[in-house]
Parts: sequence; structure tokens; C-alpha cells
Amino acid sequence: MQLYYEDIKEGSNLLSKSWGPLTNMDMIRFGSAVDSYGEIHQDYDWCIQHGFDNVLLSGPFKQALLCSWLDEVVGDIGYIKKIEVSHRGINYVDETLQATGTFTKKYILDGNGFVECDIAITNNNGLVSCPGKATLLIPMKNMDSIDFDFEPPVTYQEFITKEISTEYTDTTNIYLTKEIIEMIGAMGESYTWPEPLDISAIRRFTQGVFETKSRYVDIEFAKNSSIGSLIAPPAYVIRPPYGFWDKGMLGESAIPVFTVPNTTVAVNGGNESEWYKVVKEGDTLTQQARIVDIYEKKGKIRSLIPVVSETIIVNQCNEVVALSKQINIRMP
Amino acid sequence: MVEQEQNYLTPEMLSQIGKEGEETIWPEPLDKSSLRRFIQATRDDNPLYHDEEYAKSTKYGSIIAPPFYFHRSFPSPLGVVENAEKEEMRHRGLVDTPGFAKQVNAGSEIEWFGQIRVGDTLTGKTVVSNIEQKEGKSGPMIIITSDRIIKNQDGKLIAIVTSKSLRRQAEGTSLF
Repeated sequence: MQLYYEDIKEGSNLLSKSWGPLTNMDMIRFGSAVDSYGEIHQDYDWCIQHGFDNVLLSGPFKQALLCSWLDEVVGDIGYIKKIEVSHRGINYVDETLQATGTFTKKYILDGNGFVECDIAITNNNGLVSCPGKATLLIPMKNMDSIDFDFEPPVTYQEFITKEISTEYTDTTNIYLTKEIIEMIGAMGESYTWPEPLDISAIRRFTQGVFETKSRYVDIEFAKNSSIGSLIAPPAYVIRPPYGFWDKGMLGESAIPVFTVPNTTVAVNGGNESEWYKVVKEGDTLTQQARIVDIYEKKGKIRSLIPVVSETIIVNQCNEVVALSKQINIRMP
Repeated sequence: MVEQEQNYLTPEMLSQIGKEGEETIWPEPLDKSSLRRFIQATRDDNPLYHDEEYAKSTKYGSIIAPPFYFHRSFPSPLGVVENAEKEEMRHRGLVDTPGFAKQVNAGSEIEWFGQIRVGDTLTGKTVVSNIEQKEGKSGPMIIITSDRIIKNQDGKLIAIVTSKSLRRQAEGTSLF
């Protein structure tokens, strides 16, 4: 049943959703869909040898599950505009995850109804691992479709030429050395997806996140829609596939590779993504990332060094389809 | 006096010779991201399979799939998310051999008759051609021979795969 803007009450809850127990096969299927084959999300023996209890469910998988759930909440007409997810705990294979949320604020902007919500993933042991926020575009009762086409805050040209000033002041910090501070602003290489978005790529991703929304899986429905073709689920856009032989895995953000001194561990701290245009079957995406901040945060046990990067994703017409901010935390 | 081998081939088992499996079909026409995944997985850098310009200069005129590509799985189509892999299993457990549930692939012989191109949709259908018993080092085995006929969307024969499935004694059903 379609949810309408007029019917949403601030403070009310979103209809929750559960997945699981999630299996190793679920993780392999998602890894295959996004061309990500790291041992930590696939190889039980590797995980045990490295001190984990089981194979870890990946951050992008959990974020994609949240997107898939929110896509159900907004119904056939609505869209997800923005999502912010923090990774605060480990989830393993064999766990059951539940997504919950509360509508916190609603407002109309340029004739569109926006609703903000607090969201989270909680596992069967009560661990809240993915708290976050989302902004949803919910139709009003007089709307039978929404044209998802928004002005981005930057163009591709502005993104890659923007000056980011840095100043090296604390000469005693053992993590934030002069070389590391100078990495702020460093730009990764631009990367074009290896082929235009095709149906099997959409199928793999939708099967990987248990997504059945008509605009992603029903070719006839999509042909008859105002868009005229299948589109990619939003979460797929922020996870680039492998290139060909000369390119490696780029992950969420293709920033230059570097090591923060006196750190040995890197974990996914979270991601914030906002979408501006839909990605249609046949579109070819190009993306480029840069480091926008590196700082030290004192943790309870040890220092955390978040490396913050931003990625711009454009289509073949150089239109911005999404901006994504990734936090990668380096630790001693 | 030579001890006679026990015959495990029941009339029910033997009646399955000639049995036809359901026809399975690829969930979508072959597209480039499926092809890329396959050639990356098999470490096959032949430009005929991924370089449009090179492929144009060959007698094939466009990119073709590696010969073994037809062996890709037959996953569930777009929109089916529960047990997405189950569909590809459907043609395998065609013959039930109760008491011989431990099955392994004992090899196959393949003959090709045509190429697979981007845009093709292949179908596969399996026919059981023989069921026999043999004595192995670890005991009796049942060997199922089947022919899998692979065709493209125009009905053109692409390949015939003759496979042997070897079953060893174990409780349970060999169907899955």
C-alpha cells in the first residue's frame, strides 16, 4: 500500500523488517553482486584465524539492506533521497537483523514532501550496529509519480577543482604527521564502470539484497513507467564493480592508498550517500573520490584516526547521480 | 567360486533411463557484465571475449563467449529472491538412487556446434541415457549418464554435454 506524505505523523514508527538468519551464502551472493570478494566477508577459516567469531556481514551489505527496506517504506512512487549509516558493531553470519525507524520531521520543499527518519539495525542479541538517518521523498496524495531529478550542490568540474586547505600545526602527533596532513585533498583517479548498467547486474544486486520492488525487477512495469526502463537500486550506485585486467577493486572510495603511521587496523566507520538522479539500464557511470579530512578522535581504549573521503558519481552525460561520503577508521 | 556381486539396480531406478529434465533457460540474454564476471573468474584474457575492436577484426565479427560459458548456472530470474540458486540445481537431481545418495561429478564430454554471443539466451535440457552399476575400491557405485542439449534462442544447437554422475552408498535421497 502506498504511503502518502499527508498520513505521516512525526514521532511514529516505520514498519520494521527482519532478515535472517543470514547465511554465508547470502554474503557470497551479495559479494558476487558487487564484485567484492574479501576474505573477511567470505572465508570462515580466515575470519577465525584473525580473531573473529564467524564470517562478518559487510557494511555495504547492511547499508544496502537498509536501503532496500526504506525503498519498501516509500512505496512504488516514493524514493530514498539520502542515507547516513554509522558502523558501531560487528554483525556475523547466522545472525538475524532487524531494521527499525522513527519518522522525526516532515517538510515540503519545492512542491515535494520530504520526511526525515532515525533508523537502525539491531541483531537478535540486541546489538545496535547501524544507527543512522535517512531522508525519504514521499508522494503527496495528488501525485501519481515523482520526477527524481535534483540539483546537486557541486558539478563534477567543481568537485575535482575545489581547493581544500590544510594546515600542519601539531608537530607532536604520532599519527597526523606532516605527510598525512598533506594527504587531505588528495584525489583518486577517475574510474568508469566497466560496462553500461545491464539487466544481469541489476538482477544480481536485487537478488543479493532480497529486493523485489517493481521499478528494479519488473521489465514491463519499468517500460510503462515515466522513466521507461529498469533503474538501479540506489545502494548499487555507491558500490562500483571491478574493472578489467588493469584495474583492481576500488571499494567505496577510490582514494590514493596510504598508511597512517602507528596504525595497523582499518575498519569501515560509516557512509553517507545522497542521490540526485536515477541510474537507468544502459547508463555508464564514472566516479572520482578525494580525501576531505583526516583527524584524531580519542576512543575509550585507543585513538581513532578517521579518514573521510567524498566520492562523486556521474553518468555518461556528466550529470551527478550521487555523492557519497565514506569514513574509514584507522587504529593502532 | 566367484562371489556374485549384489545387484542394486532396481526396476524403479532403471525405469528412469530416458527421463527428461525440465528445460532451463538463462534469466536474461547474455550481457557484458555476466561475461566479464565469467572471464575474470576463469582468468581468461583472450581479447576475443572482451575487446570489441579486436573481435571486429576476427572472423567472428563481434565479442563471443568462451566455449565453456554455457556451463554458467541457471539462476532464478529477475524478481525472484528466495533461494535464488535453487533454480540452477533443478536439472542435476534428475535420477533418484535411494541408498546411493553420495554423488559426485565423474566427468563429462562436450561437443560444440556454434558460438555464444552477447544477446543470446540459451536453454538447456537433460535426458538420462544410461544407468549402470560398477564395483569400485570403496564398494558398489551407480553411474548415471545423461546428455544435456544446449540451444540458443533461434533453436540452433550450441553444444551437447554427456556427463557421468557417480553415486556411492549413503542413506537418504540423491534428489536435491
